[in-house]
Amino acid sequence: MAGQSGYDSIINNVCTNGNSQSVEFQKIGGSTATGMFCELLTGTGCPGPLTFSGTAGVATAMNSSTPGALALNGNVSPQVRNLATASIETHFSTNPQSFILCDFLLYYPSLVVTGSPTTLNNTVTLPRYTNGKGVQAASFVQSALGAATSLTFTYTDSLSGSQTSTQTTAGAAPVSNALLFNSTNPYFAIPSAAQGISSINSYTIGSGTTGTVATLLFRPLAYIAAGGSGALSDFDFLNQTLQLPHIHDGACLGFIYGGSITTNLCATGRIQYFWG
Amino acid sequence: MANGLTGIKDLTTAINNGQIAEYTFQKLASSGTSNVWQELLTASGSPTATTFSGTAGVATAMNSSTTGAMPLNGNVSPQLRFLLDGQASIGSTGTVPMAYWLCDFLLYYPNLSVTTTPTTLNNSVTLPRYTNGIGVQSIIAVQTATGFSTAPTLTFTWNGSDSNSYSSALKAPSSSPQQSTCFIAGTDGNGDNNGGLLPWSGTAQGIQSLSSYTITTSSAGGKVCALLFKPLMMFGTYNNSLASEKDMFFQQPAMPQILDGACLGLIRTNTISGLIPNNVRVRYVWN
Repeated sequence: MAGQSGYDSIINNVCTNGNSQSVEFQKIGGSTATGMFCELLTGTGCPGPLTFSGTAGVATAMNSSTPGALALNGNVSPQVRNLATASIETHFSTNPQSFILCDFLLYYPSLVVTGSPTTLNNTVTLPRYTNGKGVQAASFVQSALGAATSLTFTYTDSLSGSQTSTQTTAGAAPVSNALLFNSTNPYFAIPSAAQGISSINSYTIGSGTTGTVATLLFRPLAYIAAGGSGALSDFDFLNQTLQLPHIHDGACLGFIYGGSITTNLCATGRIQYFWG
Repeated sequence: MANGLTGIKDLTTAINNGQIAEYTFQKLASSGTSNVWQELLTASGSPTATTFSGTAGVATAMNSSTTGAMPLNGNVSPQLRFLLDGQASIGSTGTVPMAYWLCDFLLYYPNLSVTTTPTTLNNSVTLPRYTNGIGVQSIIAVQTATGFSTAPTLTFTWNGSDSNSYSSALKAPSSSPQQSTCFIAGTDGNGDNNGGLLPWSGTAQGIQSLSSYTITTSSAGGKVCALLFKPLMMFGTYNNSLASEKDMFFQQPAMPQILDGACLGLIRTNTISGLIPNNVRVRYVWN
């Protein structure tokens, strides 16, 4: 039977079958204001930075081979891969901060924020979580915005309904990587019945001047809090909080972080997963 | 019976059979710089200090026989060896919290010039473990502090685990870094130092070797040593003289494997002031 049937099963898979991998990382992100969120995919470090390349507006699938993704072993299906532990450390007195480990699924690059909105192309669909259930969306500054920006997106939810969500910058000219909020929420608004997003279809521009944003679809897997400056935060997803998040084959693992950093963040840590 | 551990009973049986060992690092590290990493291989204490000897630039493999490596039992293959638990503490004074990497050190390139002419790197010797480079990291540590002037920046060309060639830079955190200090990836808007790992690029998920380097900003003197290593576990200290403990099987089910011949040592990843004893105790089992 695929999956872990108990503690002995985990020990056997890790310590006999070698079904375990640890991934260490060090990522340097942009500056944020209090309460802001940023993506760390495009940050330098280990792994290297992602570039939201491709034709503007064309959905691009993300997987474990995408530059910037945390290392993932080859496909294990029909076995099941679970996140077991995570550790993280940052160096700032403005802690605490939150790190959201995500499986990034799709991005729509280089969306303009002035003039005619970029046409969105959904020839490529979700590579995982294909019905959109549990899938979130967020827009991030790709190239620096010249002014406060507001965009209203139309998307298809996990029940095939059409919904809208307005995303607005928190500051007049947010830095690269910064997230556009839905009111005060980081992700797109999703009606309670819908439970997720399967594609972004179009958008309108409420305000904006120069710069571009990238809109991403992703599945949050785990929330990891960083404590005081220099303090190592450890998370055990088996015994501490029984979650064992499922990491799908081909997952594009990376982080979104939120906090009060006003200077470039540097996060160092490791995750470890096992399969069986 | 399969090698390795098939469950809790195997673990307890291995312990009862004496297939367990422990070791306590006691390293007296020099004063560091805020947010700057330090390698503790060359710090005095137990085990004794490593000396990055050899011809400048020539890759030198590291293993459990390397001076300064934590004692490791003989080869256990085809059995497997796992880190069971660990504790970390620092002295009654000094900065907390603190974090440590327990690493398997793999290769070093000694006595690299940071003045005008880069040292030629020689890769006749390759990675002795983790040979595909996946998960292998690199730091640049000050080997000879005497003579440093302007904080040098070095840009390394390296071979990734994807067999592609990349380049990335690290720079000295100050114009007079102490011996053992790691170069940094950059500084933030407050001038705080960021990270000690050589940044990756593209689809690389690790480093196989360093090919060459250029000196973007030079120093009047001093030498550095480049190291390749595989981190195995992170430990944190949170209060002076108070040990923090981590159980790799039940508190954090990570169960890192320690390969035969591993050169186990420590890197410290945070602020510290003064000459501070660093104590890290680890236990490992095999079966």
